[in-house]
Amino acid sequence: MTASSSPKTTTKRVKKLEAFGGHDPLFLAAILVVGLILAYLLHMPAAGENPKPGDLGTIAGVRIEDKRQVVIPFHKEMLKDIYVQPSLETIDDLATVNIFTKTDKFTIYLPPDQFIPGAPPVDPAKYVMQLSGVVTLLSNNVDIAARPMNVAITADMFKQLPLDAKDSVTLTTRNNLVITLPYAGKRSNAMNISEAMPPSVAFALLWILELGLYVGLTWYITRHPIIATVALGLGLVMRYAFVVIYQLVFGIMDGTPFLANIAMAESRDWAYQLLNLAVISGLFALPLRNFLKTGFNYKINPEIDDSNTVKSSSVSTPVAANKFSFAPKQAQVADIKIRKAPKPAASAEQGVLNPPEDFIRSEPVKGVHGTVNIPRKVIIASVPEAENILRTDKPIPVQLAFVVPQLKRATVWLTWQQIFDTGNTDPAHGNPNMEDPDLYDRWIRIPAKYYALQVPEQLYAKGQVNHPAWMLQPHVPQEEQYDLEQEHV
Amino acid sequence: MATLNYATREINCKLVYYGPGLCGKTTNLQFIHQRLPGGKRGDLVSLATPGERTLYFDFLPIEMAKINGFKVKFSLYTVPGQVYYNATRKLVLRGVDGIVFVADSQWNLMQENLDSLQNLEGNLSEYSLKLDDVPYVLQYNKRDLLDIAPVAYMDYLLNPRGVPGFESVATTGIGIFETLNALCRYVIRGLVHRVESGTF
Repeated sequence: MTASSSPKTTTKRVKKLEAFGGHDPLFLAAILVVGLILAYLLHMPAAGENPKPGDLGTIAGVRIEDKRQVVIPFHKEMLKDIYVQPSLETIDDLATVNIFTKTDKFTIYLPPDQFIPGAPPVDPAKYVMQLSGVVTLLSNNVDIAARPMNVAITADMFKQLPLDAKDSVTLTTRNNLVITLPYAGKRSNAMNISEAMPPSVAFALLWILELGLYVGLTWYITRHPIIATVALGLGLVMRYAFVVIYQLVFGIMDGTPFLANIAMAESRDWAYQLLNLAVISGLFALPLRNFLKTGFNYKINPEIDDSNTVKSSSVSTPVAANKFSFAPKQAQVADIKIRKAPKPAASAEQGVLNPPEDFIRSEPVKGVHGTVNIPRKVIIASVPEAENILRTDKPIPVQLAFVVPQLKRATVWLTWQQIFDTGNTDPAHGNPNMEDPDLYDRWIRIPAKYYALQVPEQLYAKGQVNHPAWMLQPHVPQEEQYDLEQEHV
Repeated sequence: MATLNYATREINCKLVYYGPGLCGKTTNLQFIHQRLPGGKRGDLVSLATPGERTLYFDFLPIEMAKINGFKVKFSLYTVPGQVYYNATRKLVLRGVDGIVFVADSQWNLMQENLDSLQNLEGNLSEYSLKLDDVPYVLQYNKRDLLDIAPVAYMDYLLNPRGVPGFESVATTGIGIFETLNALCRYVIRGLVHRVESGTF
């Protein structure tokens, strides 16, 4: 099998593959990015999602369900979006309280004595604080307007609350939804996890950490199918280990018993679990794909175009060398034709100049006689060794017949031999051609400055100039008046 | 290509200053901007490095007299002269109506001038254009320096079509408006010709 891409592209690709352990970095990156984004989006509940019956949605990473005791994290972020406004309306023995959030407005019911000055059993402000926790729960989960009585809190319930003795209170709604509220008046000064970091950020960080571990694992995995299978098993173990960690962390944040959380963990986020498996499968599909393309444990010799002597680094290093210890010792080599890098042209600093790529060597013009004198320093600039050969500072005569064909180039390129042709040798310099025959084919660059003014004027004859059509268009009447400078000065 | 707006009775043309790096293209625009009164020109937009190298392009809109009731507006652009910004040069040339090729008169920059002119032809060919199709003038800049090539030689080297060439010193403004006026007239001639021939 031979790669169909160009040699230059192939060499680059081989280097890339080497850098990413034989995996296509674009494919790898695409899977990771898409996985990250989708996992995050799928895991976060969409705004306004309708919960299933019995499922009131999620808050702070905790799934709220009827008949289940839950703890609502009560932190400063919740208070930002919520304020409570007592209403004058009464229904039976309950006062209504309008609650506004950024997006919602709804009403819950409170015993009126909570809002009568002078007669509250407890400080109303505390109840407001407590209630904001309830509001947050409900505004994130259920359509309050559809069933307001579900969250009515009766006076009896409040009177039973031993607020001074507990850090949290438990309420039971009429449909048996049990809600535990932290008590604001007895809060500890120590900052808990929820205050330090919103749960969504904590979740995202853990997710990134987990993915980083997946990437690190695959980094060391060769394209051996058995090794890949083992790694897949490791990946799954890791996945479940992280599920436990998630539940542990969020259990601490919520105050929910760990066992209660872990018992329900796996059955809920099916989309998230599915995506995790997809990501893992994608990562391990890479070695599988390479295996299918190249065959098991094969090795071929790369076809090397050895047209020049520069050794390419990509040849000496096998592609995706097996770094994992279980891997077969035999190196695997990509089925790619590797062309060695072209020999770089020597730079002027190295003492060797070459004409540009588009330069075409021209023959001397017949019938043109005479010379132009080139300063010695021009020769030395191109051939530093000439300093020892050209013994005097006298300019070097160069035959015009060699210069004229290149007049349109702004720079004349001649070989040492063309300049120091036997018939053109200046006695002052002896015969440089005889000094060092190795210099015969060395190129000498002569800028226009050193010959242009010495070339007879007639040799610059342009011949017939054909003006472009746009120059021949008729004048516009009064166009001489169109003078930007005169108009404005 | 120039646009003709009958509603606002405006003609908009795009002129590009082209040439090798540090030949004085931006200085041309700066002088024009400085000389024209505020009502007849817009702001000079220039994105340059601290070393005064144009990074993207310079832009200066100016306004000319009315022709047959139409206000003629020219958008002057420069290109970055440095070799590796060719993609930007190509982009700036899109829809060009006229070109000022600014050549550096210093002897040691003759090759750069020639290379830049060839680069211009190459980039125009990307839009299926040739220098025979687009009005352009030459400006031999930096004539106040000592080590400069004669105009005759630069003409021989850079001007095989015999288009108008102007000596200039962009820092003092010599030859700046002569160059611009000449190009504007050629562009207007082309416009009028196309309108009259019904090809606009």
